[in-house]
Amino acid sequence: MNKKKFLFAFAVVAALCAISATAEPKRLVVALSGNPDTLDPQKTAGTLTFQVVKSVYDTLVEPDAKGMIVPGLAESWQVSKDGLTWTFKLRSGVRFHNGDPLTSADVKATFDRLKDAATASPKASEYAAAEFFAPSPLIVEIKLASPQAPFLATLASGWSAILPKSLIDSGWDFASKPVGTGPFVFKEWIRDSRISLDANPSYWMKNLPKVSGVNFQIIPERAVQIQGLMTGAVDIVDGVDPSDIATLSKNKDVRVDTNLSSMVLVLAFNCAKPELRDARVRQAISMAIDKKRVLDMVYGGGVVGGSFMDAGDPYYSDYSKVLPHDSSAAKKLLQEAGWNPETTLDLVLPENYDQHVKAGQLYQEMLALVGVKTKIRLVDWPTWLSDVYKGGKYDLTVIGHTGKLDPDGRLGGFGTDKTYVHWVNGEANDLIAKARTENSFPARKALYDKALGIMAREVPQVYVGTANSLVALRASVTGFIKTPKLDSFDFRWVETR
Amino acid sequence: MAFFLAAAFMAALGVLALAAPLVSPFDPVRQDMNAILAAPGRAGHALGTDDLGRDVLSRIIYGSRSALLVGTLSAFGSALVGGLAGLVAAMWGGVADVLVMTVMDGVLAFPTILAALTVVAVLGFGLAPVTIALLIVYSPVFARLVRTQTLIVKTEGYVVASRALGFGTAWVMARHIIPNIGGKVIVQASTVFALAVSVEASLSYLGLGAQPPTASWGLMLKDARNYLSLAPWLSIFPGFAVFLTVLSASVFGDSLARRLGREPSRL
Repeated sequence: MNKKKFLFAFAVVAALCAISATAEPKRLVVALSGNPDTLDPQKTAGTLTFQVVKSVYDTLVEPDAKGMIVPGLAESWQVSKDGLTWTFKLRSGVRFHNGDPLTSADVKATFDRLKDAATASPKASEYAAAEFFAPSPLIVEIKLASPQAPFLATLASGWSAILPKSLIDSGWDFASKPVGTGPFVFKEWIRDSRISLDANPSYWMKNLPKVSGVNFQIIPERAVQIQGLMTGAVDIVDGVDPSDIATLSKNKDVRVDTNLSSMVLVLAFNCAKPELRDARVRQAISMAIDKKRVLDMVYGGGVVGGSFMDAGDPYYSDYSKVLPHDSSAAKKLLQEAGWNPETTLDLVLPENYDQHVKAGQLYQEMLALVGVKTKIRLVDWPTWLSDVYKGGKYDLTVIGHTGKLDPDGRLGGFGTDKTYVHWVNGEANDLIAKARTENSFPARKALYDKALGIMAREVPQVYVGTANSLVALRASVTGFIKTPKLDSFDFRWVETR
Repeated sequence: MAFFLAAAFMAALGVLALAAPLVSPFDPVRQDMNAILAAPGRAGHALGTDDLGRDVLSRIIYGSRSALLVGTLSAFGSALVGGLAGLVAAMWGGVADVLVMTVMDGVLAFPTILAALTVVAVLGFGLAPVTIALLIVYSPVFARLVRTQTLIVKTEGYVVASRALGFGTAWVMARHIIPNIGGKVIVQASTVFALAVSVEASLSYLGLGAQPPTASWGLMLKDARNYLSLAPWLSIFPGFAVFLTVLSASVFGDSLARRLGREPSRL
């Protein structure tokens, strides 16, 4: 009897050893600060979504590490002389995760779906003037109603992910089960817990990706993310707070990469409100704020730019001298404008962004020093989007604007009532509209410089500056790239030693 | 012994809350940029400062205002509303009784925090909605208590005699019923006060109660979450404040019950 038990135990142990010997190479664990609202790239503008689906989908063209547009699913392209017809040649031999081969029919079906009113895509307007044709299986033709310089950048963005036609036609649930041509295949989404992706063994970039899979752990608490990183349970934490650096620097298995991000931080005004219509009031508020201090205390440092463009962008110009930090000048200007000190402004903050909530409290204090009273109101993210961004139910709000591959992505619509700040300025809008149709960089820069200059003086938003991006990683992780401008995660070259 | 200690603490807290502007060393919302995350004892801040340079001791003192206000108003309010409902149900009986108690049982069936969350979701974030939510959530407790006690007292000799002599229902309620059940209601109110302070801290911790930059112990705990290893004093002091307050109120209620010769009600 004893001999039998011994043999049985031995067999079990042997089996376990065999299993662990053939265990998968390590999967990458990335902390995600919330549940994406959807995984359908056409139905959202949320960064959380794109941080995940960038690895599941590809686009016709993509940005390289410097932000230049390089081939993706399209291996080459040409533009007609009048700028109205773009012809893309697709790579051959690319397959979707469900086995379908990639053809021009998939590209046409993808963009037809994006433009379809039934999809209600927040990015549909970017393609409104484009018609897609599939003259042959590997050729895609796009006809524009008028020349559009930002068009290539739009095709490189996350929402231009290519979906398979067969699944579009069958009404597939892309919101919960993404299927693309990307380096990783979607495995599962356990809400509030994790999203798992497996490496795509037949990815069109040879020998990539290098890790066997990515687990996005949904951890809303930054302190828990940091703890996970320190113990090795998490490999990458994006968006580290400056106060964490002290703790992280003590651990030799962890490093922090600091780079200038493309996030422009603002204190935005609802310019339609009577109290805020006078530009002098807005200028005074801008001068009351010590922007460098806010960047250093809250956002991990950065560059004060004074302009609605991130400091690393080729179209950037430094407007920080236009409205420098000057409390006495601010008080004088408020007096000139006849500011009523009894007025209390409604300062709405998105409660899911700790940094914006903290910055809001700093702004409240700085404004109080020049005699502007504010009352803070915290709202959750869906409410911020519906009430503030779409509904205009606020006086002041704090938010960050992520980078765009083309300046029109940031500035398009400003100067009309259609933006969330409801600032109307015909001159600025004309300049921005004209720059969209120009194709040469010098011509566009001159136009954008003028428009940004107007915005720096009229301040529909207080431009606090461009934030630093702090990413904390395990020392064993190399090759991690954050897509410039889009701030989505590129894991193709990541290796964990 | 416990009774006096608890009563003394509650009284001291009340005085602190009332005299906050006089006792507090700093303005609770003033940000001192040169003293961010100062440890207790540094730079003239007895209990340290938080990540925006605000004095922790001052915020604890002012936080007692939020806690006491919400606790007192919701305990008092729910005692009034629930008590009246229970009284009506017991005195009039019949349809009124069934109606009132069904509604009260319905509310009681909800877990406390869930019910409070629902009310706050409708009314919005803030201390006022939280107080209203707690008032609604704890009314059934008093309704049941008062109804039961009234039914008992109703059958006492002196009440029967009064009614036989022709005294009206209202007079009987005021003169005989309320004085006899008052003690139990006060005991229950202390327990509800303790619970209310605890729930307010929880809701503020979730970001649904006190809004920044208000000083509230729950909100202080929420902000301290990100600095647990870097600045533990930001969590220890507000946590201790909540703990001591809830403990004192509970002990006060229990010892009062024992002194009055009756058992405290269990929720």
